[in-house]
Amino acid sequence: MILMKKKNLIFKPGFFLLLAVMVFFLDYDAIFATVISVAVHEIGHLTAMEFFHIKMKNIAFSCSGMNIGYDGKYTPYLQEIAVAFSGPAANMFLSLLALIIFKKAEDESFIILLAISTAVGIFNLLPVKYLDGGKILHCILSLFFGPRFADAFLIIISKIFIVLILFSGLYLFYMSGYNFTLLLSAVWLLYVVNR
Amino acid sequence: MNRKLPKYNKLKGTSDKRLNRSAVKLALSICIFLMASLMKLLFPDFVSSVKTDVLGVLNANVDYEKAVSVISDGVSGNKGVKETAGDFVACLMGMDDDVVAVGNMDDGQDSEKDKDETPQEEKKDDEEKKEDDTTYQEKKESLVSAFKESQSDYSSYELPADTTYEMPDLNIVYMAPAEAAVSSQFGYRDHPVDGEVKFHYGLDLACELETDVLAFADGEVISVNDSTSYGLNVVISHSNGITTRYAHCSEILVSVGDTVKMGDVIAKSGDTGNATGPCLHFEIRVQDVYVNPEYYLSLV
Repeated sequence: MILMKKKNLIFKPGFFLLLAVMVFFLDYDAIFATVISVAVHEIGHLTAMEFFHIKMKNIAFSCSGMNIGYDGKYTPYLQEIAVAFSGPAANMFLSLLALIIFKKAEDESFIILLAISTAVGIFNLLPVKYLDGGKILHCILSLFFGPRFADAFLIIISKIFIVLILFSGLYLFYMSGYNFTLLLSAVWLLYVVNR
Repeated sequence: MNRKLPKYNKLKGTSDKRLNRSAVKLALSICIFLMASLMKLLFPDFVSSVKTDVLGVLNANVDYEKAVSVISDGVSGNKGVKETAGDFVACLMGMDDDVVAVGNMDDGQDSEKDKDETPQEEKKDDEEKKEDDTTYQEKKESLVSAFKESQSDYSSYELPADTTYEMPDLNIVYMAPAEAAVSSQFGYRDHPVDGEVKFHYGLDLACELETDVLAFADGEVISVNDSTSYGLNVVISHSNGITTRYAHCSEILVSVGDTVKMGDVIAKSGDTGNATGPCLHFEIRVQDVYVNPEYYLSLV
Protein backbone atom coordinates (compact mmCIF):
# COMPACT_ATOMS: atom_id res chain seq x y z
CA MET A 1 0.00 0.00 0.00
CA ILE A 2 1.04 3.60 -0.16
CA LEU A 3 3.71 4.77 2.22
CA MET A 4 2.41 7.22 4.76
CA LYS A 5 5.21 8.63 6.83
CA LYS A 6 4.28 10.96 9.60
CA LYS A 7 6.20 13.94 8.27
CA ASN A 8 4.24 13.83 5.04
CA LEU A 9 0.94 14.68 6.71
CA ILE A 10 0.42 18.41 6.75
CA PHE A 11 -2.36 20.09 8.66
CA LYS A 12 -2.89 23.80 8.27
CA PRO A 13 -4.95 25.88 10.68
CA GLY A 14 -7.30 26.97 7.88
CA PHE A 15 -8.53 23.41 7.62
CA PHE A 16 -9.80 23.32 11.19
CA LEU A 17 -11.33 26.77 10.87
CA LEU A 18 -13.14 25.57 7.78
CA LEU A 19 -14.34 22.51 9.66
CA ALA A 20 -15.50 24.69 12.56
CA VAL A 21 -17.52 26.91 10.23
CA MET A 22 -19.01 23.87 8.51
CA VAL A 23 -19.94 22.24 11.80
CA PHE A 24 -21.57 25.44 12.98
CA PHE A 25 -23.56 26.28 9.91
CA LEU A 26 -24.44 22.99 8.29
CA ASP A 27 -26.80 20.23 9.24
CA TYR A 28 -25.30 16.87 10.06
CA ASP A 29 -26.48 15.56 6.69
CA ALA A 30 -24.55 18.20 4.82
CA ILE A 31 -21.43 17.83 6.97
CA PHE A 32 -21.46 14.11 6.47
CA ALA A 33 -22.03 14.49 2.74
CA THR A 34 -19.20 17.00 2.34
CA VAL A 35 -16.69 14.96 4.31
CA ILE A 36 -17.58 11.78 2.45
CA SER A 37 -17.47 13.50 -0.94
CA VAL A 38 -14.03 14.99 -0.34
CA ALA A 39 -12.72 11.73 1.07
CA VAL A 40 -14.01 9.72 -1.87
CA HIS A 41 -12.55 12.24 -4.24
CA GLU A 42 -9.11 11.88 -2.74
CA ILE A 43 -9.44 8.11 -2.53
CA GLY A 44 -10.10 8.21 -6.25
CA HIS A 45 -6.84 10.06 -6.77
CA LEU A 46 -5.01 7.67 -4.48
CA THR A 47 -6.36 4.61 -6.24
CA ALA A 48 -5.12 5.84 -9.58
CA MET A 49 -1.76 6.73 -8.09
CA GLU A 50 -1.45 3.29 -6.60
CA PHE A 51 -2.37 1.76 -9.94
CA PHE A 52 0.37 3.62 -11.74
CA HIS A 53 2.82 3.19 -8.87
CA ILE A 54 3.15 6.92 -8.44
CA LYS A 55 4.66 7.76 -5.10
CA MET A 56 2.75 10.16 -2.92
CA LYS A 57 4.79 13.01 -1.52
CA ASN A 58 2.43 14.44 1.04
CA ILE A 59 -1.18 14.87 2.03
CA ALA A 60 -2.13 18.40 2.96
CA PHE A 61 -5.27 19.48 4.77
CA SER A 62 -5.84 23.17 4.25
CA CYS A 63 -8.69 25.60 4.02
CA SER A 64 -9.20 24.52 0.41
CA GLY A 65 -9.76 20.94 1.48
CA MET A 66 -7.63 17.86 1.13
CA ASN A 67 -4.82 17.75 -1.37
CA ILE A 68 -2.51 14.90 -2.32
CA GLY A 69 0.85 15.91 -3.65
CA TYR A 70 3.11 13.86 -5.84
CA ASP A 71 6.15 14.47 -7.96
CA GLY A 72 4.79 15.13 -11.41
CA LYS A 73 8.16 15.62 -13.10
CA TYR A 74 8.65 12.03 -14.11
CA THR A 75 5.06 10.99 -14.50
CA PRO A 76 3.86 10.59 -18.07
CA TYR A 77 1.17 13.03 -19.11
CA LEU A 78 -1.38 10.33 -19.76
CA GLN A 79 -0.91 8.95 -16.29
CA GLU A 80 -1.31 12.41 -14.83
CA ILE A 81 -4.53 12.83 -16.76
CA ALA A 82 -5.81 9.53 -15.41
CA VAL A 83 -4.90 10.42 -11.84
CA ALA A 84 -6.47 13.84 -12.12
CA PHE A 85 -9.61 12.47 -13.67
CA SER A 86 -10.07 9.65 -11.19
CA GLY A 87 -10.99 12.10 -8.42
CA PRO A 88 -14.08 13.47 -10.12
CA ALA A 89 -14.79 10.02 -11.52
CA ALA A 90 -14.93 8.64 -7.99
CA ASN A 91 -17.35 11.44 -7.12
CA MET A 92 -19.56 10.44 -10.02
CA PHE A 93 -19.61 6.86 -8.80
CA LEU A 94 -20.52 8.08 -5.35
CA SER A 95 -23.34 10.17 -6.79
CA LEU A 96 -24.64 7.18 -8.67
CA LEU A 97 -24.48 5.10 -5.53
CA ALA A 98 -26.29 7.80 -3.58
CA LEU A 99 -28.99 7.91 -6.24
CA ILE A 100 -29.50 4.14 -6.11
CA ILE A 101 -29.64 4.09 -2.32
CA PHE A 102 -32.08 6.97 -2.34
CA LYS A 103 -34.36 5.17 -4.77
CA LYS A 104 -34.29 2.08 -2.56
CA ALA A 105 -34.33 3.67 0.87
CA GLU A 106 -36.28 6.86 0.12
CA ASP A 107 -34.02 8.66 2.57
CA GLU A 108 -33.73 12.38 1.84
CA SER A 109 -30.21 12.69 3.21
CA PHE A 110 -28.91 10.76 0.23
CA ILE A 111 -30.15 13.49 -2.03
CA ILE A 112 -27.84 15.84 -0.20
CA LEU A 113 -24.98 13.39 -0.66
CA LEU A 114 -25.83 13.10 -4.33
CA ALA A 115 -25.91 16.85 -4.75
CA ILE A 116 -22.70 17.61 -2.89
CA SER A 117 -20.78 14.76 -4.45
CA THR A 118 -21.82 15.86 -7.94
CA ALA A 119 -20.97 19.45 -7.15
CA VAL A 120 -17.50 18.50 -5.91
CA GLY A 121 -16.93 16.40 -9.01
CA ILE A 122 -18.07 19.01 -11.50
CA PHE A 123 -16.33 21.86 -9.73
CA ASN A 124 -13.04 19.98 -9.80
CA LEU A 125 -13.44 19.32 -13.51
CA LEU A 126 -13.53 23.02 -14.34
CA PRO A 127 -10.53 24.07 -16.43
CA VAL A 128 -9.00 26.29 -13.81
CA LYS A 129 -5.36 26.15 -12.91
CA TYR A 130 -5.28 24.42 -9.52
CA LEU A 131 -8.29 22.18 -10.05
CA ASP A 132 -8.23 18.70 -11.52
CA GLY A 133 -9.81 19.96 -14.72
CA GLY A 134 -7.04 22.47 -15.09
CA LYS A 135 -4.46 19.78 -14.62
CA ILE A 136 -6.09 17.61 -17.26
CA LEU A 137 -6.20 20.50 -19.70
CA HIS A 138 -2.59 21.35 -19.00
CA CYS A 139 -1.49 17.80 -19.66
CA ILE A 140 -3.46 17.52 -22.91
CA LEU A 141 -2.10 20.84 -24.15
CA SER A 142 1.43 19.91 -23.11
CA LEU A 143 1.15 16.71 -25.10
CA PHE A 144 0.34 18.60 -28.25
CA PHE A 145 1.93 22.01 -27.80
CA GLY A 146 4.47 21.68 -25.00
CA PRO A 147 4.37 22.85 -21.40
CA ARG A 148 5.16 26.52 -21.99
CA PHE A 149 2.21 27.01 -24.28
CA ALA A 150 0.08 24.91 -21.94
CA ASP A 151 0.97 27.20 -19.01
CA ALA A 152 0.08 30.37 -20.85
CA PHE A 153 -3.12 29.01 -22.33
CA LEU A 154 -4.23 27.55 -19.03
CA ILE A 155 -3.85 30.88 -17.26
CA ILE A 156 -6.06 32.59 -19.81
CA ILE A 157 -8.71 29.88 -19.77
CA SER A 158 -8.62 29.82 -15.98
CA LYS A 159 -9.30 33.51 -15.75
CA ILE A 160 -12.18 33.28 -18.19
CA PHE A 161 -13.77 30.49 -16.22
CA ILE A 162 -13.21 32.24 -12.92
CA VAL A 163 -15.16 35.18 -14.25
CA LEU A 164 -17.94 32.82 -15.30
CA ILE A 165 -17.97 31.21 -11.87
CA LEU A 166 -17.97 34.64 -10.28
CA PHE A 167 -21.09 35.64 -12.17
CA SER A 168 -22.75 32.33 -11.41
CA GLY A 169 -21.89 32.87 -7.76
CA LEU A 170 -23.38 36.35 -7.80
CA TYR A 171 -26.52 35.01 -9.45
CA LEU A 172 -26.82 32.21 -6.94
CA PHE A 173 -26.35 34.65 -4.08
CA TYR A 174 -28.91 37.03 -5.52
CA MET A 175 -31.50 34.31 -6.16
CA SER A 176 -31.10 32.47 -2.88
CA GLY A 177 -30.47 35.51 -0.75
CA TYR A 178 -27.83 33.80 1.34
CA ASN A 179 -25.87 31.17 -0.58
CA PHE A 180 -22.45 32.75 -1.02
CA THR A 181 -20.51 29.47 -1.32
CA LEU A 182 -20.03 29.66 -5.08
CA LEU A 183 -19.11 33.32 -4.80
CA LEU A 184 -16.57 32.50 -2.14
CA SER A 185 -15.09 29.76 -4.30
CA ALA A 186 -14.77 32.18 -7.19
CA VAL A 187 -13.05 34.77 -5.02
CA TRP A 188 -10.70 32.18 -3.60
CA LEU A 189 -9.82 30.89 -7.06
CA LEU A 190 -9.19 34.44 -8.19
CA TYR A 191 -6.79 34.93 -5.31
CA VAL A 192 -4.97 31.63 -5.86
CA VAL A 193 -4.58 32.02 -9.61
CA ASN A 194 -3.23 35.54 -9.30
CA ARG A 195 -0.69 34.77 -6.60
CA MET B 1 7.35 24.60 -7.24
CA ASN B 2 5.89 22.77 -4.31
CA ARG B 3 3.77 25.25 -2.48
CA LYS B 4 3.20 22.90 0.35
CA LEU B 5 6.60 23.27 1.96
CA PRO B 6 6.17 24.36 5.55
CA LYS B 7 6.88 28.02 6.02
CA TYR B 8 9.44 27.52 8.71
CA ASN B 9 11.97 26.23 6.18
CA LYS B 10 12.27 29.61 4.54
CA LEU B 11 14.17 31.50 7.17
CA LYS B 12 17.03 30.13 9.20
CA GLY B 13 17.67 31.50 12.64
CA THR B 14 14.11 32.43 13.33
CA SER B 15 12.91 28.93 12.51
CA ASP B 16 12.20 28.15 16.16
CA LYS B 17 10.02 31.20 16.59
CA ARG B 18 8.14 30.42 13.42
CA LEU B 19 7.72 26.83 14.44
CA ASN B 20 6.22 27.96 17.70
CA ARG B 21 3.92 30.40 15.99
CA SER B 22 2.65 27.83 13.50
CA ALA B 23 2.16 25.32 16.29
CA VAL B 24 0.18 27.86 18.26
CA LYS B 25 -1.93 28.76 15.24
CA LEU B 26 -2.63 25.11 14.58
CA ALA B 27 -3.46 24.38 18.21
CA LEU B 28 -5.77 27.39 18.32
CA SER B 29 -7.63 26.36 15.21
CA ILE B 30 -8.02 22.80 16.51
CA CYS B 31 -9.46 24.22 19.72
CA ILE B 32 -11.92 26.35 17.80
CA PHE B 33 -13.00 23.34 15.80
CA LEU B 34 -13.45 21.21 18.92
CA MET B 35 -15.44 23.97 20.58
CA ALA B 36 -17.68 24.29 17.54
CA SER B 37 -18.27 20.53 17.53
CA LEU B 38 -19.04 20.49 21.24
CA MET B 39 -21.48 23.35 20.90
CA LYS B 40 -23.17 21.61 18.02
CA LEU B 41 -23.59 18.48 20.10
CA LEU B 42 -24.53 20.05 23.40
CA PHE B 43 -26.39 23.21 22.40
CA PRO B 44 -27.91 22.52 19.00
CA ASP B 45 -30.68 25.09 19.48
CA PHE B 46 -28.25 27.89 20.19
CA VAL B 47 -26.19 26.95 17.18
CA SER B 48 -29.18 26.92 14.87
CA SER B 49 -30.38 30.29 16.21
CA VAL B 50 -26.98 31.81 15.48
CA LYS B 51 -27.17 30.29 12.04
CA THR B 52 -30.56 31.77 11.27
CA ASP B 53 -29.43 35.17 12.56
CA VAL B 54 -26.35 35.20 10.38
CA LEU B 55 -28.20 33.92 7.34
CA GLY B 56 -30.93 36.41 8.06
CA VAL B 57 -28.42 39.20 7.89
CA LEU B 58 -27.14 37.91 4.58
CA ASN B 59 -30.67 37.44 3.34
CA ALA B 60 -31.54 40.91 4.51
CA ASN B 61 -34.46 42.76 3.06
CA VAL B 62 -32.64 45.98 3.57
CA ASP B 63 -34.88 49.00 3.81
CA TYR B 64 -32.53 51.60 2.39
CA GLU B 65 -35.09 54.36 2.64
CA LYS B 66 -35.43 53.71 6.32
CA ALA B 67 -31.69 53.70 6.74
CA VAL B 68 -31.45 57.09 5.08
CA SER B 69 -34.29 58.36 7.24
CA VAL B 70 -32.38 57.25 10.30
CA ILE B 71 -29.38 59.25 9.16
CA SER B 72 -31.44 62.36 8.54
CA ASP B 73 -33.03 61.92 11.96
CA GLY B 74 -29.58 61.90 13.44
CA VAL B 75 -28.45 64.91 11.46
CA SER B 76 -31.56 66.92 12.31
CA GLY B 77 -31.04 66.18 15.95
CA ASN B 78 -34.10 64.05 16.56
CA LYS B 79 -31.92 61.11 17.49
CA GLY B 80 -28.78 60.84 19.51
CA VAL B 81 -25.55 59.80 17.87
CA LYS B 82 -25.46 56.40 19.48
CA GLU B 83 -29.08 55.68 18.65
CA THR B 84 -28.58 56.83 15.07
CA ALA B 85 -25.52 54.64 14.60
CA GLY B 86 -27.23 51.63 16.14
CA ASP B 87 -30.42 52.07 14.15
CA PHE B 88 -28.49 52.64 10.92
CA VAL B 89 -26.58 49.40 11.32
CA ALA B 90 -29.78 47.59 12.26
CA CYS B 91 -31.42 48.85 9.07
CA LEU B 92 -28.52 47.70 6.91
CA MET B 93 -28.64 44.28 8.50
CA GLY B 94 -32.34 43.97 7.87
CA MET B 95 -33.14 43.95 11.59
CA ASP B 96 -35.05 47.19 11.52
CA ASP B 97 -38.33 46.06 13.02
CA ASP B 98 -37.80 48.15 16.14
CA VAL B 99 -36.39 51.15 14.35
CA VAL B 100 -38.56 54.21 14.12
CA ALA B 101 -37.38 56.74 11.60
CA VAL B 102 -39.25 59.82 10.60
CA GLY B 103 -36.48 61.32 8.53
CA ASN B 104 -37.60 63.64 5.83
CA MET B 105 -41.10 62.36 5.25
CA ASP B 106 -41.58 61.98 1.54
CA ASP B 107 -45.16 61.75 0.50
CA GLY B 108 -44.46 58.54 -1.36
CA GLN B 109 -43.46 56.57 1.72
CA ASP B 110 -45.28 53.71 3.31
CA SER B 111 -45.29 53.96 7.06
CA GLU B 112 -48.66 54.96 8.26
CA LYS B 113 -47.13 56.66 11.26
CA ASP B 114 -49.00 54.40 13.63
CA LYS B 115 -45.75 53.62 15.35
CA ASP B 116 -44.89 52.63 18.90
CA GLU B 117 -44.08 55.47 21.21
CA THR B 118 -40.37 56.05 21.57
CA PRO B 119 -38.59 58.55 23.75
CA GLN B 120 -37.85 61.25 21.24
CA GLU B 121 -37.20 64.91 21.65
CA GLU B 122 -40.29 67.02 21.56
CA LYS B 123 -40.39 69.25 18.53
CA LYS B 124 -43.06 71.89 18.94
CA ASP B 125 -44.06 73.90 15.96
CA ASP B 126 -44.07 77.43 17.28
CA GLU B 127 -45.51 79.24 14.34
CA GLU B 128 -48.38 81.09 15.98
CA LYS B 129 -48.72 84.56 14.50
CA LYS B 130 -50.27 87.59 16.14
CA GLU B 131 -54.03 87.78 15.69
CA ASP B 132 -56.28 90.75 16.07
CA ASP B 133 -59.33 88.56 16.52
CA THR B 134 -59.22 87.56 20.19
CA THR B 135 -62.32 85.37 19.93
CA TYR B 136 -60.47 83.29 17.41
CA GLN B 137 -57.59 83.07 19.82
CA GLU B 138 -59.90 82.08 22.60
CA LYS B 139 -61.52 79.42 20.47
CA LYS B 140 -58.16 78.05 19.56
CA GLU B 141 -57.01 77.97 23.13
CA SER B 142 -60.08 76.14 24.28
CA LEU B 143 -59.80 73.64 21.46
CA VAL B 144 -56.17 72.98 22.20
CA SER B 145 -56.59 72.70 25.93
CA ALA B 146 -59.62 70.43 25.54
CA PHE B 147 -57.65 68.19 23.23
CA LYS B 148 -54.62 68.08 25.50
CA GLU B 149 -56.96 67.18 28.31
CA SER B 150 -58.31 64.29 26.28
CA GLN B 151 -54.77 63.06 25.76
CA SER B 152 -53.90 63.29 29.45
CA ASP B 153 -54.02 59.50 29.83
CA TYR B 154 -51.01 59.41 27.62
CA SER B 155 -49.15 62.26 29.25
CA SER B 156 -46.28 59.93 30.10
CA TYR B 157 -45.59 59.46 26.41
CA GLU B 158 -43.57 62.09 24.62
CA LEU B 159 -44.85 63.33 21.31
CA PRO B 160 -43.23 61.76 18.29
CA ALA B 161 -40.99 63.94 16.18
CA ASP B 162 -42.78 66.06 13.61
CA THR B 163 -46.04 66.15 15.51
CA THR B 164 -47.62 68.82 17.64
CA TYR B 165 -50.69 69.37 19.76
CA GLU B 166 -50.63 73.07 18.93
CA MET B 167 -52.86 74.68 16.38
CA PRO B 168 -50.88 76.72 13.90
CA ASP B 169 -52.91 79.08 11.73
CA LEU B 170 -53.42 77.72 8.25
CA ASN B 171 -54.37 81.05 6.65
CA ILE B 172 -56.11 79.34 3.79
CA VAL B 173 -59.72 78.80 2.96
CA TYR B 174 -60.68 75.21 3.61
CA MET B 175 -63.55 72.82 4.10
CA ALA B 176 -64.12 69.34 5.47
CA PRO B 177 -62.94 66.57 3.13
CA ALA B 178 -66.02 64.46 3.72
CA GLU B 179 -69.39 64.76 5.34
CA ALA B 180 -68.71 62.34 8.10
CA ALA B 181 -68.27 62.12 11.81
CA VAL B 182 -64.98 61.59 13.52
CA SER B 183 -64.50 57.93 14.35
CA SER B 184 -60.95 58.14 15.65
CA GLN B 185 -59.05 61.17 16.87
CA PHE B 186 -55.56 62.46 16.28
CA GLY B 187 -52.90 61.72 18.88
CA TYR B 188 -52.26 58.76 21.12
CA ARG B 189 -54.80 55.99 21.16
CA ASP B 190 -55.07 52.30 21.81
CA HIS B 191 -54.65 51.14 18.24
CA PRO B 192 -57.86 49.65 16.89
CA VAL B 193 -56.17 46.87 14.96
CA ASP B 194 -53.44 45.60 17.25
CA GLY B 195 -54.29 47.07 20.64
CA GLU B 196 -50.98 48.77 21.40
CA VAL B 197 -50.67 52.41 22.34
CA LYS B 198 -49.79 54.19 19.14
CA PHE B 199 -49.81 57.69 17.82
CA HIS B 200 -52.50 58.39 15.24
CA TYR B 201 -51.11 60.92 12.81
CA GLY B 202 -54.45 61.92 11.36
CA LEU B 203 -58.16 61.84 11.82
CA ASP B 204 -60.48 58.98 10.89
CA LEU B 205 -63.85 60.04 9.50
CA ALA B 206 -66.44 57.30 9.42
CA CYS B 207 -68.01 57.15 6.00
CA GLU B 208 -69.62 54.44 3.96
CA LEU B 209 -67.76 52.99 1.02
CA GLU B 210 -67.64 55.13 -2.09
CA THR B 211 -68.37 58.38 -0.29
CA ASP B 212 -67.03 61.43 -2.12
CA VAL B 213 -63.72 62.62 -0.76
CA LEU B 214 -63.27 66.34 -1.32
CA ALA B 215 -60.15 68.46 -1.54
CA PHE B 216 -59.58 70.28 1.74
CA ALA B 217 -58.47 73.44 -0.06
CA ASP B 218 -57.06 74.66 -3.38
CA GLY B 219 -53.84 72.97 -4.29
CA GLU B 220 -51.92 70.58 -6.47
CA VAL B 221 -51.88 66.80 -6.33
CA ILE B 222 -48.35 65.76 -5.49
CA SER B 223 -48.71 62.07 -4.79
CA VAL B 224 -51.04 59.20 -5.58
CA ASN B 225 -49.99 55.82 -4.26
CA ASP B 226 -50.93 52.56 -2.66
CA SER B 227 -49.35 51.25 0.50
CA THR B 228 -50.00 48.48 2.99
CA SER B 229 -50.81 50.88 5.80
CA TYR B 230 -52.44 53.83 4.06
CA GLY B 231 -54.01 51.82 1.26
CA LEU B 232 -54.92 53.90 -1.76
CA ASN B 233 -54.08 57.46 -0.85
CA VAL B 234 -53.58 60.87 -2.40
CA VAL B 235 -51.60 63.85 -1.13
CA ILE B 236 -52.36 67.43 -2.04
CA SER B 237 -50.06 70.37 -1.54
CA HIS B 238 -51.64 73.69 -0.63
CA SER B 239 -50.11 77.07 0.03
CA ASN B 240 -48.22 78.07 3.18
CA GLY B 241 -46.45 74.74 3.39
CA ILE B 242 -49.63 72.83 4.10
CA THR B 243 -50.18 69.33 2.74
CA THR B 244 -53.10 66.99 3.25
CA ARG B 245 -53.40 63.24 2.80
CA TYR B 246 -56.57 61.25 2.14
CA ALA B 247 -56.12 57.54 2.80
CA HIS B 248 -57.93 54.16 2.77
CA CYS B 249 -59.64 55.20 -0.45
CA SER B 250 -61.25 52.76 -2.84
CA GLU B 251 -60.54 54.91 -5.85
CA ILE B 252 -58.43 57.95 -6.63
CA LEU B 253 -59.92 60.27 -9.22
CA VAL B 254 -57.00 62.62 -9.78
CA SER B 255 -53.42 62.28 -10.98
CA VAL B 256 -50.14 63.73 -9.87
CA GLY B 257 -49.80 67.27 -11.14
CA ASP B 258 -53.54 68.02 -11.30
CA THR B 259 -54.62 71.36 -9.91
CA VAL B 260 -57.63 71.02 -7.65
CA LYS B 261 -60.02 73.49 -6.12
CA MET B 262 -61.39 73.26 -2.63
CA GLY B 263 -64.35 70.88 -2.71
CA ASP B 264 -63.35 69.01 -5.86
CA VAL B 265 -64.08 65.30 -5.64
CA ILE B 266 -60.63 63.74 -5.62
CA ALA B 267 -61.38 60.21 -4.50
CA LYS B 268 -63.93 57.70 -3.30
CA SER B 269 -63.64 56.49 0.26
CA GLY B 270 -62.97 52.84 1.03
CA ASP B 271 -61.24 50.54 3.47
CA THR B 272 -57.98 49.80 1.74
CA GLY B 273 -54.80 49.45 3.74
CA ASN B 274 -54.64 49.06 7.50
CA ALA B 275 -58.18 50.24 8.28
CA THR B 276 -60.67 48.67 10.66
CA GLY B 277 -63.59 49.54 8.46
CA PRO B 278 -64.66 51.94 5.76
CA CYS B 279 -63.36 55.39 6.67
CA LEU B 280 -61.35 58.29 5.44
CA HIS B 281 -57.99 58.78 7.15
CA PHE B 282 -57.25 62.48 6.85
CA GLU B 283 -53.93 64.10 7.71
CA ILE B 284 -52.81 67.70 7.73
CA ARG B 285 -49.17 68.67 7.79
CA VAL B 286 -47.89 72.19 8.28
CA GLN B 287 -44.24 72.51 7.25
CA ASP B 288 -44.02 68.71 7.50
CA VAL B 289 -45.34 68.66 11.05
CA TYR B 290 -48.51 66.68 11.70
CA VAL B 291 -51.27 68.73 13.31
CA ASN B 292 -54.65 67.76 14.64
CA PRO B 293 -57.12 68.10 11.75
CA GLU B 294 -60.06 68.10 14.13
CA TYR B 295 -59.10 71.57 15.36
CA TYR B 296 -59.69 72.99 11.92
CA LEU B 297 -62.71 70.93 10.98
CA SER B 298 -64.51 71.91 14.15
CA LEU B 299 -64.25 75.55 13.15
CA VAL B 300 -65.82 75.04 9.73
